[in-house]
Amino acid sequence: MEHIGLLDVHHLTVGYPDGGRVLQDISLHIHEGEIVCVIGESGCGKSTLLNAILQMPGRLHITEGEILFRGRNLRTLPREEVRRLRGTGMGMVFQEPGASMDPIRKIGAQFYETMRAHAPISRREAMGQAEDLLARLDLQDTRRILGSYPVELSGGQKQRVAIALAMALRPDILLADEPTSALDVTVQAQIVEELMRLRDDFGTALLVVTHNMGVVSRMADKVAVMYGGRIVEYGYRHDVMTAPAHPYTRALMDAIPRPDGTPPKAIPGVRTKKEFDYPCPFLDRCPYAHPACRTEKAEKIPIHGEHWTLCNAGFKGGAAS
Amino acid sequence: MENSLRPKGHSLGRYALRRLLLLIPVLFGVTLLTYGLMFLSPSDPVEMLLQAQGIPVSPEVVSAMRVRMGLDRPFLEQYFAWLWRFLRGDMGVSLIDGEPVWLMLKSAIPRTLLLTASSVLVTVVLSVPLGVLTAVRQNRFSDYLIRFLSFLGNAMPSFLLSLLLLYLFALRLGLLPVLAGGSVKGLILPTLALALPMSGRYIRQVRAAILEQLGKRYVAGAISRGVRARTVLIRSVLRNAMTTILTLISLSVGSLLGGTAAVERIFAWRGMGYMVMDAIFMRDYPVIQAFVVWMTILYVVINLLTDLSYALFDPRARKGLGVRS
Repeated sequence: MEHIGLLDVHHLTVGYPDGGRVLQDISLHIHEGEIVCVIGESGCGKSTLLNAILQMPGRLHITEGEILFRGRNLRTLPREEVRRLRGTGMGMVFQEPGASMDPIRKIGAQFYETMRAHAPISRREAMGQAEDLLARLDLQDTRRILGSYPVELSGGQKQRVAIALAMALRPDILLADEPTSALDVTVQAQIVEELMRLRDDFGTALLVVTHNMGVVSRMADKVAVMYGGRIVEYGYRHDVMTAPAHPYTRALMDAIPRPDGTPPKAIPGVRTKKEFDYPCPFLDRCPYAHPACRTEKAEKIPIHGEHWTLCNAGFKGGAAS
Repeated sequence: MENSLRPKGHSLGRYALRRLLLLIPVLFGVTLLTYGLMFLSPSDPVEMLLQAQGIPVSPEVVSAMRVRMGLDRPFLEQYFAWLWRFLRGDMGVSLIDGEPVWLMLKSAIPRTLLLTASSVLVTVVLSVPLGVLTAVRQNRFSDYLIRFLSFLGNAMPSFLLSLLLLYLFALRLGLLPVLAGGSVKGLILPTLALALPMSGRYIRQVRAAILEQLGKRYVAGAISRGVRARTVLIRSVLRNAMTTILTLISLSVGSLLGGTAAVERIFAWRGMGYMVMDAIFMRDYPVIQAFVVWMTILYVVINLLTDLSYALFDPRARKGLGVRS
């Protein structure tokens, strides 16, 4: 398989045991230190993608495709190897600040537990490293925080602590599931800055799932637009945001409130359950759909460079106006 | 590690003291209520005593007995006379056989404590590991098997189980004595008769509590950091489920300490349940009153201990208690 980067997802299909699909034919390649944002509406499979990459236990099963971390196939790797990769190779930040922490154990103990799960380390040393990480995330009073319970911290503090916990073993890539959407707007901006600083400090690659265009435009090197369990457009941020090719991406851009007062336009229609059976997931809501879209499977159409879209309707770049 | 945000120790102590002070009005109300209910009930100790002896006695003798026992006095007077003596440490004597009530308690309470301790211990030892096991192996064979057995245990009333155990171990196998009689060997069967149905109930509740915790996001969080599943289970899940499990156990401890009428009867284990059944049957007011006081103190203290144990396990509960005091 080509494209050996830090994380390579090849033709990943994920579904429920009863056959219902959540992700279909997802391919994604992330290089060292790269920031990729996955954008899409709720329920499009963004979180599932992260859980699948980290091989989290659950009801969902990978039915097809491969996930390679540094060329190692996570689907065939022994479970103990996968466990060791979690935390050291790949970390995860969850949407709800603090949800990833045990509510009844002190934060220091959870740092220690995480570090101990991967290498022998003294408590004192673990606390030193944890304090250092917390300080890098602009937290003051780091010693007190380590002696606190999650409930004693504010939302922003919790999310920073959660990021620090995920970074405890300096993973090469951090998967972040809507890391800012549960936070106050001012805190959101700070968290975005701090996530980006992780790359500068540690060379950490980021795969950020979000539905916030602001986060995408601030952070992303590359953008993957998801709709109905498929990636419908992919490319460098500049290309995707200035020349959106897929009708859904265009609609998404038009739905952003603008400072000039242009009213945002809602995307007409609602998602259907049948989108997996359609040749194109956006078919029902697409203003540009033509008869051929109903019969021919939507194909990956290269635009230029790494920019491509999953659309047969013949829209190859150009402004949406 | 110092932590300025945690409520100081004294607030928890003050909270406990306040709860204990509440005992005073509660005790007053409860004893008055029981006294009133006994007064309203259609017969009195004299009648019951004479009935038990089966000898016809002249009405003069009956009323003389009533006067001697103080049963001819108005209700409130009787109650306050009892209360006054009780407050000075005199629980009175049994109206039936004249035995001092405190002596009766002195022999019954240790037996009940012993039976409670042993059956709760067996219950915990059986139900926590099995509950965890069924939760972790959800929907596999061992889960179904244990759940079926726990259903069986749960559905079986203690008295029936007592008889089955007696039949099997005492009559058929001759391993254990029929009557407990306060010996250690005699403790085994009543303990099982109480612990097996309780375990049946608890296995399911522990299973549910563990499953609930396993679905929490902090479990996913720990797994995503590469923490071993076993570590998460023991360090986090079990501890988080502990508050639920403790609540259940404290409820059982409360009712067990009140004595278990049926099981104590069947095995002739002369604990509180045995004592109070006799007392109620014979309308032995001082004994019943002493029992009610015992139960009230028990429930208040156990509830308090349970709440305090939440604070021990859960910093969120600690915060809650701290705010209130």
